[in-house]
Amino acid sequence: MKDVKEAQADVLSVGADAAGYSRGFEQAKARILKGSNSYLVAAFVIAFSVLLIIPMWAAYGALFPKENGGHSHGAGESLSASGFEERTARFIEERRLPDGSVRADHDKPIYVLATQYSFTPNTIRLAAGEQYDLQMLSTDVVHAFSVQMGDTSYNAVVMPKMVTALKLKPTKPGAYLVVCNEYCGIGHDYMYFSVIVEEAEAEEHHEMSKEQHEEMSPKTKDREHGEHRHGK
Amino acid sequence: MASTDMASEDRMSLVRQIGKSHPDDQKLMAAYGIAGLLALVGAFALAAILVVIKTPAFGLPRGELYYRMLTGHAILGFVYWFAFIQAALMIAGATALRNGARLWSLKLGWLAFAFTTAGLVVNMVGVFSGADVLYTAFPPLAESFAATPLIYLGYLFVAAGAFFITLDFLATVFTWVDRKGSVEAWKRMLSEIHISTFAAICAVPLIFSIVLAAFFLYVPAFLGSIGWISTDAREFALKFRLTYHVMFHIIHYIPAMAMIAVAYVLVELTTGANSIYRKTVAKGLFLMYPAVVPPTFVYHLMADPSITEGIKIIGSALSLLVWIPSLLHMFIVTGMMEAGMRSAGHGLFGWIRHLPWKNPAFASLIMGMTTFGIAGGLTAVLLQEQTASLLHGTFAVPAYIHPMVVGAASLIYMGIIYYAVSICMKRDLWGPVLARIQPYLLSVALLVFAWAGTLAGYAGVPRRTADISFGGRAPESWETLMNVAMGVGGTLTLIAGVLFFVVIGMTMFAGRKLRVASELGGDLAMLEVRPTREFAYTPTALIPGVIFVLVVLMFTAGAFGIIGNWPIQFG
Repeated sequence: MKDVKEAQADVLSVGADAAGYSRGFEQAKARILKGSNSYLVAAFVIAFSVLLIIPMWAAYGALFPKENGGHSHGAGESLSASGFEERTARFIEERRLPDGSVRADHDKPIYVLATQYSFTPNTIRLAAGEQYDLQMLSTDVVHAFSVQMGDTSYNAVVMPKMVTALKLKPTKPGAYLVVCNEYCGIGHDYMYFSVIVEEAEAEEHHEMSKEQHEEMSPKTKDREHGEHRHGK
Repeated sequence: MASTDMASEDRMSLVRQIGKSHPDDQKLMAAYGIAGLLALVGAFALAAILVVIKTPAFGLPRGELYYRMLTGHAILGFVYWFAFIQAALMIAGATALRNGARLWSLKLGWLAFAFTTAGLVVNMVGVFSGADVLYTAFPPLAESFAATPLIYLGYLFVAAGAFFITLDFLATVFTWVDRKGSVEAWKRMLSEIHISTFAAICAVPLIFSIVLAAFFLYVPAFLGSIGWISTDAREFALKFRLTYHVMFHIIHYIPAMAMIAVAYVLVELTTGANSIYRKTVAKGLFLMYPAVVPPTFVYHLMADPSITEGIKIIGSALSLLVWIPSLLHMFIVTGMMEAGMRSAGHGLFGWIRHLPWKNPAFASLIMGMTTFGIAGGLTAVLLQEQTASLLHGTFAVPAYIHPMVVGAASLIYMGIIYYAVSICMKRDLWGPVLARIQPYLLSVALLVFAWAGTLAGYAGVPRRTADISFGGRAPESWETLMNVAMGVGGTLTLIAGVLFFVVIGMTMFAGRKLRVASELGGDLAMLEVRPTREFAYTPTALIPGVIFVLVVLMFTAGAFGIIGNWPIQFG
């Protein structure tokens, strides 16, 4: 009934005479519906084309195959903070270097504890080309793990009571800043740590020179921040 | 000539219809509208402080002040400006668009208003007493601030206000059907009502879900924060986070639906265009929101360890569906303009030039829709499980949400406010030149903010962080990008906001008096379109949709390219 009225108004608006009214009205109605509906159908087709993104996920998997699938930080393990703290302390004790940094072992998990407003350990050394298991837990509030890689970043949430488990494989040596990007309180801006990726062969030299240790030590980083960005 | 008169008569009827709403209902609408505008003024005032702190060139990063102002800014802007103005729009849908029909209960309407206002007061006392919890107020972080209970209590009040006004709206809709048991009578009523009123009806189940979730969240959170109940704080935090995101996700779509509903009114008021499609199509598209929106909350949790990979993938696929009704609405609204304008003999693109670009409400509509499309495209990477980790928690989030809620929703609301103030207060717009500039400036400002802010997000700048220098370790590009996003985009947004407040404020008190509401002159006058032919084809209206689809595909491909080349691969 509504369409009839609308079509009638359209016919009147183009000034159809009374004799041709009925025929003109029927024609106009047919034209309006046919004309507009084909564009409406086209609009539906275009709108539903956003679903073309779904096959892109498969194409991405084929283009960049990953040893452990392409998905990150799936459901984590539920763990008490004290249990995780113990594991972190043991990991640090076993792998600590004289400068306070920790050199990770690719066949053992890396443990990182997030607490207002620091990460423990605060410097981790990895070897390029190796794959590592990283596990993180917060002891208090929700934090995040945001790895800065020069002009891009990787971001994951670190929660209390739920372990964030990641696999990571560094390919380029460099020093990477990791910041908390989930507001965790007034000191949030000062919560960050470093991941240092070394050449694969460097891992064999467990003893670094004193100069190198000083360069990487947290106290001197403030002065040498330029070198701690990921250089290409 | 007779046909032109009839068409213009028909077009003016909407203005008359709005003007005919009962003065008592208008008072309630005005109260909501003014309270909303005051909340928006507050949000802009606090945004000015954020711009100063967050622009690195000013060198004034002040952590505590920043987090307090950010909490107040978001609560005022995202919670109260929308709560008030959307309630006003809902009342308008039940009265002004219903040819002067009355609201079911004025008392209930005022009770709802009182609750919402009480919520605002309680929340602001909480913020300025030191609850630096941001508007999310996640436990257990929130527990470390003594004023946190006031944040939860304020949220309970605003939820109660939203519940009462929605109940009043729903009761009003029930009064429109005499024989409640007759399906035919309901169908007739639903087909008769304006598209925008129908949109408000579709929002009702979503609003009730929000209210329910708010009570599930904030009653225990409030009682826990004042020590009346004790829970395992961390266990509660996990549950809170999940329920919060369900609620928060649905909240986003109320402005999206309301904005589109307003767009249908604005296109009629500014160009006189009528739908060339069956109105049931537009109404059916509004029904998609309550169906599609709730299950897609997962996309806020793509970087969380507490959600399994399978759920994230399903969530990603469903998330793509939320674009579809909005894209189709944009097509219909643009198509209404195109068909209307081309019936006057304009060519394939020539009709665009003849649109009423000087009408501030039309400029709000068209720039709002454009910004909505661009901001919608920017969400592509964040919605997908495989790409979300590239931007989660970065500045790319505020860089899309601000264009969405300010450059699109608020701008389109501003467009209808220009008309509402003129029609209801029978005044001509004050400062027409300022009003002409305002929508374009606000939109461009937000697009500058979006452009530089998105690049900052891609470069890793964290959101919600006062000082992004990290002791000098941050990449150099961060400063430049944030100077452009906050310093340029933020400042221009503030200027555009001030222009709007000045024009509306001055119109209320110093605008030229009109004898009758339908006398609207100047830039707000409806466009004169003299039809010379029938026209029902809308090819140009298809173009924005095509661009949108191509852009989201390109963003997705681009994100895959970046992730594939990360110097540290995550899996």
